[in-house]
Amino acid sequence: MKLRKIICVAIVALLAVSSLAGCGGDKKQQATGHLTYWMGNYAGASELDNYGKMESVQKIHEAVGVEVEYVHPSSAAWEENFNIMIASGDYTDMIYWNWASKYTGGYEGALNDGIILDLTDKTDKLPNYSKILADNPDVDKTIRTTDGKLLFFATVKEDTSLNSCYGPMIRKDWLDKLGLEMPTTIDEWYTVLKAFKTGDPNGNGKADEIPMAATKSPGFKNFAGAFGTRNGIYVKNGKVVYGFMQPEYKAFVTEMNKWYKEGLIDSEFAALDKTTADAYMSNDTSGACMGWVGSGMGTYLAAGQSIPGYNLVAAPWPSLEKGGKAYIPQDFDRITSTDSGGVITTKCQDLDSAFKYMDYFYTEEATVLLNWGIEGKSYVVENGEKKLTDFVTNNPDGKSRNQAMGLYANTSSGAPQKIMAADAFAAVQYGTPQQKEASIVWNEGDRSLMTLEWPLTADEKAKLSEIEGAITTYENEVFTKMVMGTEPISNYGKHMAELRNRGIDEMIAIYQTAYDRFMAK
Amino acid sequence: MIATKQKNDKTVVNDRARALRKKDGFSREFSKYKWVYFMALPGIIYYLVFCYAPMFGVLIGFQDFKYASGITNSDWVGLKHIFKFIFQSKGTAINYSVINPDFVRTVGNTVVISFMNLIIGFPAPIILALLLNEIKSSGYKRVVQTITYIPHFISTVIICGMISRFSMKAGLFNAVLGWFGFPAENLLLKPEAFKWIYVLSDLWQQIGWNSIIYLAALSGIDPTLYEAASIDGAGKFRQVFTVTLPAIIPTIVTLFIMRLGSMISVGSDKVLLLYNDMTMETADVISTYVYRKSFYEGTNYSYSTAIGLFNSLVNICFLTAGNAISRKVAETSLW
Repeated sequence: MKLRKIICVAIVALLAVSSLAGCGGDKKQQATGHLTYWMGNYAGASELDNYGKMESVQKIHEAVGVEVEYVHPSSAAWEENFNIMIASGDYTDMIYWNWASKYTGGYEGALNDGIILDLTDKTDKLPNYSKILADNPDVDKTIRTTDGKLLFFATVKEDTSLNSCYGPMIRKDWLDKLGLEMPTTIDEWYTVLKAFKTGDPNGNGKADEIPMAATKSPGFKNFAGAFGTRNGIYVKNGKVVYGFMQPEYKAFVTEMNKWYKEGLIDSEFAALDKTTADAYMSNDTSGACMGWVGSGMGTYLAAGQSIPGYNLVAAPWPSLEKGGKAYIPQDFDRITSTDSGGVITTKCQDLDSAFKYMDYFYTEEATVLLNWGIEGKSYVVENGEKKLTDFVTNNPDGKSRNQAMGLYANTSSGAPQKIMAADAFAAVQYGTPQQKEASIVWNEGDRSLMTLEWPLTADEKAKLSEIEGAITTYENEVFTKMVMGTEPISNYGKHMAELRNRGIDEMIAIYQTAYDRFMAK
Repeated sequence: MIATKQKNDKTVVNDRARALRKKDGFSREFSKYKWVYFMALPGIIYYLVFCYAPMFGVLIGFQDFKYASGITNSDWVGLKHIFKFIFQSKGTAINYSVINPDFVRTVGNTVVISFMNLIIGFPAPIILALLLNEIKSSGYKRVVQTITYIPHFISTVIICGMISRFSMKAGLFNAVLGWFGFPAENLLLKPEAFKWIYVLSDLWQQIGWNSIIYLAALSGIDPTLYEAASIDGAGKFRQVFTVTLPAIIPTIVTLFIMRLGSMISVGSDKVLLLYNDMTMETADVISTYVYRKSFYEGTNYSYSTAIGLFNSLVNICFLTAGNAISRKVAETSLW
């Protein structure tokens, strides 16, 4: 009896100890030359289960002489996984993450919380990164904190000319059929859409056309650019303003309401996801939309092949009057993104290897490797120009360009840090002449509505995260209601007042401070 | 679990046993039933580890919680987050003279949807069970039962995908409504329709599943009661009211009280999948608001926790009140 009790207790104790050991005993050994790098999504994730398996990354490891083990969370649970890792206090040597919006206080918050390493006085150990920052003062200004600290490794675009990848697109064959010109002003757009509605361009004898396709996050919101305003924060005559609070924006909403009332915009847009809009664009129902060059235009051009004469092309950003200014209403080709970045954490024991490794990403060799992949496998050089191989453009296993490229390089994504090569991006993304042309057409326009990312203090970030969401949720709701006519536009002033109640003035003031500080640098 | 106040022989015996047990003390009972207690151990550990221990997490509702500082080092802010929910916040300041319009809207919608769900969704399974109980052909009964409870096993995402397709202008619902002369409209864009779509689809999905427990209760009724009733000249309808319903009243009341416990909670997933800018005013509920605050409009975990806690407190009030009333009126209660 007694013996049995002892055995019982012993077993229970053993189980308890072993389960505890399972929890905490996972200390990584810090042998020199071995580092760990935590990262969420990456280009090629559909092809490779680890970023370290990409051939170009392996070449980099060889060149630097450092072995880096990439750690990926299970997909879709990145945020949870990241938070658990941080809360446990046991994190990898390097982390690539969206610190700006997914960590309270952003990079500075992470620095104050003792998670990341300050790189400001380490620039002598980062010769290549320092050089890129010195060559691109705008990037340098954007990524440094308000008091000039350098905290992370950013993705840099030195050449943005080919990166315009979003804009209005229209069915050229429908225009030709109805004898119309390419629209360049808001009035011409109205005429064209009206003709799409009444002129039966799909030729089935029924007036079943929905001239412009849209989803519940409506692309046509970017027509605001024609009215000289845009969604959210921008700078007007040196003052930070908010789109919805401007008179131009009211004019824009009024016009969209008119389009909606006359059936030019899909009447169900506010309840639709992308699937339906995609179907309309490629099955001869819709003739125009705003969208991305790859996931939009590329998809539609492929899916619309069954329709004789199907030709979807980019339309220029419209202006309000003939010959007037056409603004680009979105920051699609920012020189850098400060949201996500690679950091070295305070847990890193082998700092010299980490500096060497992270810095190497900004060398010319690494830029070619990461954007173009392996010579002879993913690209070849002809007459001094790089070209994608047949393996990528016309994959024997039926993989898309992005998928095939993902085996060798990280062309389309800026994660983790690197220099984006515009030519490689264009070569992979723009598979059709229409797409190549689109990146040129959408690149033309007035850029004064576009903003750089102005560095914010941790305190400002925390405040904005409290205010900004409530503002945009309210604004989206009334915008949709006013376009669809269930909320009269005469109530516009009332909604502006409500946004003030919700603290829009405080929000604008925070951005104004950030902007002034940025300009003073 | 159910304490009936009726004194009968059985309870007298129970009382005597309880008195006996008291005299001999707990240790004697424990040694007598130690294997039974031992078998309960995994369940007790489960509740301690997964239900009671995490409750300390509500502390972050009273803090400005930061992941890196953890619960122990984050700053305490008292009831700030609950006040922020109830009163209008202008930017980062709280204006105590104005009620938060989002508070009014989300609480209002939550109450209305829950109430509609209760009125429509609670009696329906009972009626279905009563009807099924009268079916004599067991094959037919089984087919009906299976068909009605299968939707319970379909995931919410798929259900909502079906609803949004069917609600489109060219969808199934509009085709049917068209026969009655209604113009085709996307039903998910109509604010006044949202609550009905929510409640009726819930009814369709859960009716069969929820009727199972009543069917079990019905099968426990002594058939001689029906014989006696029919000898006394009671028709089918009369039998339902004098024999069947009284027999399952304890089950109904217990389930009703438990339902009251979730009176002020409408799950977020279905609303999130179905609402849009047009229906926000009638569809936004507390749980979707909490979701947006913690994941979409920034990472305000403390605020969401405080609202969640507020929600639970209101639910406990409903549960307690419902239980007290039922103890008085129906003489049946959870505790």
